[in-house]
Amino acid sequence: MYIDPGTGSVLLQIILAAALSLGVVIRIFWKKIKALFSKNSNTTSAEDELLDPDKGENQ
Amino acid sequence: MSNKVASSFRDPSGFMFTRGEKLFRQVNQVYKEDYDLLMSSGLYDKLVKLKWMVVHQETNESPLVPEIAYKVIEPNKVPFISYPYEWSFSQLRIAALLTLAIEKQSLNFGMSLKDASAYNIQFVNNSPVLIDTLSLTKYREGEPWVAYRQFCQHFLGPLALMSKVDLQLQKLLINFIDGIPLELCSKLLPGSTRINSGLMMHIHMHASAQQRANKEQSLGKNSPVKSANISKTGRLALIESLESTIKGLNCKINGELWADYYANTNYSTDAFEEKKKLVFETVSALDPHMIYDLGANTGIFSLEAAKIPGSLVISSDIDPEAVEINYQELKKQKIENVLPLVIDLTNPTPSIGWDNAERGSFLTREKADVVMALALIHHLAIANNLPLSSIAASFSKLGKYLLLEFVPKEDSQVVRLLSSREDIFPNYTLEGVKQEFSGYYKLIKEIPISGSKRTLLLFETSGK
Repeated sequence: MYIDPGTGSVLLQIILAAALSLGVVIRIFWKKIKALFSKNSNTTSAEDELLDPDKGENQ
Repeated sequence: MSNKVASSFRDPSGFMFTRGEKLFRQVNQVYKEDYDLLMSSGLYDKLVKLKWMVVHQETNESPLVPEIAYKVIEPNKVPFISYPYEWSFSQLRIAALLTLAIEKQSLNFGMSLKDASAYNIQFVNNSPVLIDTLSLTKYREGEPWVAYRQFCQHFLGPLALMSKVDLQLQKLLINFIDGIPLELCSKLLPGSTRINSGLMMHIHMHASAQQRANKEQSLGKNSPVKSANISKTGRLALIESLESTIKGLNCKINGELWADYYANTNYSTDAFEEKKKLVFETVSALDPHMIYDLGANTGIFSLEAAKIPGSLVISSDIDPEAVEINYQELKKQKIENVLPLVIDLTNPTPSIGWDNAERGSFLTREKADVVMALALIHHLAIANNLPLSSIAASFSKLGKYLLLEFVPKEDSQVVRLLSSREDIFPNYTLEGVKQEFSGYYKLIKEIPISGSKRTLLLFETSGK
């Protein structure tokens, strides 16, 4: 580690990481529930594919 | 003759050096474990295959500082170096998204970016590429992302300011070499950005967290940072949150400014097509590689020059909106050999950083074979009072040939410039230009553009 991560930045990260990963869990759970009721789940937009490692614009 | 590259001193993992014409990177012993992991984990191959990272070869070249050296590698040269304060909004945005995409990909391979500097990204074939091979380090379970703050200062802050306040605020990056301080971003952003959850978290709360921590540190309180523990899911969630915040930022373009530009010229459609043809024919006859199109506006004539096989056109303009349109148009047309940049010729990007040597000025980059200055001279000579001989002197330093379009006083563009001021430019005539430029150039060709009052002049530097 050669740059200073910054105390404040690290403290904030601890809080955000916890809160945001809770969000991720809820999102996955919600997707699963939605998937139960719908067949068509392909909703990725062109924007999402911008730097998708499989379809990225840089390929 | 070997020389350490002036900007390559922050990271002890290694540094760049030049030897003759060639550019090398010394990898130091301290980075050995990370370098071997980068190469053996499959991450390097993956990133290179995606064209996200610069390709390098390992060489037998002798290191510059052998006592600490592990390897010497030779990265593919970037054809033209440019800096974040010269990019359009979308260029900075795609560079930010690439940085995050690389970080996500790296975590899959057990590695992580230890820095997230915008200077580690360059544009090659008009797409962003990570040029710092030594940026990747082994990921250790539980550790926070050390580059989080740097990412926000280099990318998110400037993008938010450009999107929510004014595109021109990107020039703040010239004053702050390690990115715009978050406290400053937070102060400058309108209060309404606090309801944007991403900006609230990563800028506003980030700035207050820093402030609070600084205060506590100055009171001598111990920080719990060293024992911080963040799960990998948490790390990924943070990256994804940054990603969606950046994707949610866009740049407003005032349609008038550019849509009107070509509509208001002194050209009939025929004369405009004629000018395009003349520009292409004249420039391609010189068989150039590097071409500068100065004052390129949205890049219409850069596209003509880009038709020349093997050419690279640096398409610069003072107007960040015009450069944004230029970039978007190139992406739409999938043209790769034009690099649009925001450059104010009356105050070109200076050299900045330590010893004023880290990031070179615009005038000291790769020299051009041909400099195009189409419908530009009246802006410099009349709107900015620049003496013609001084314009010639400056252009002659940029490249060998100069294709100059002279716009006479009868032209409506010049009439407009002179409408609100006294005409103190008796010398501003075709003959005057030829006379003043003869101090630095010899005139090779003079081509009147039929259907207009303008003239194309092709000069070659006289080497005086």
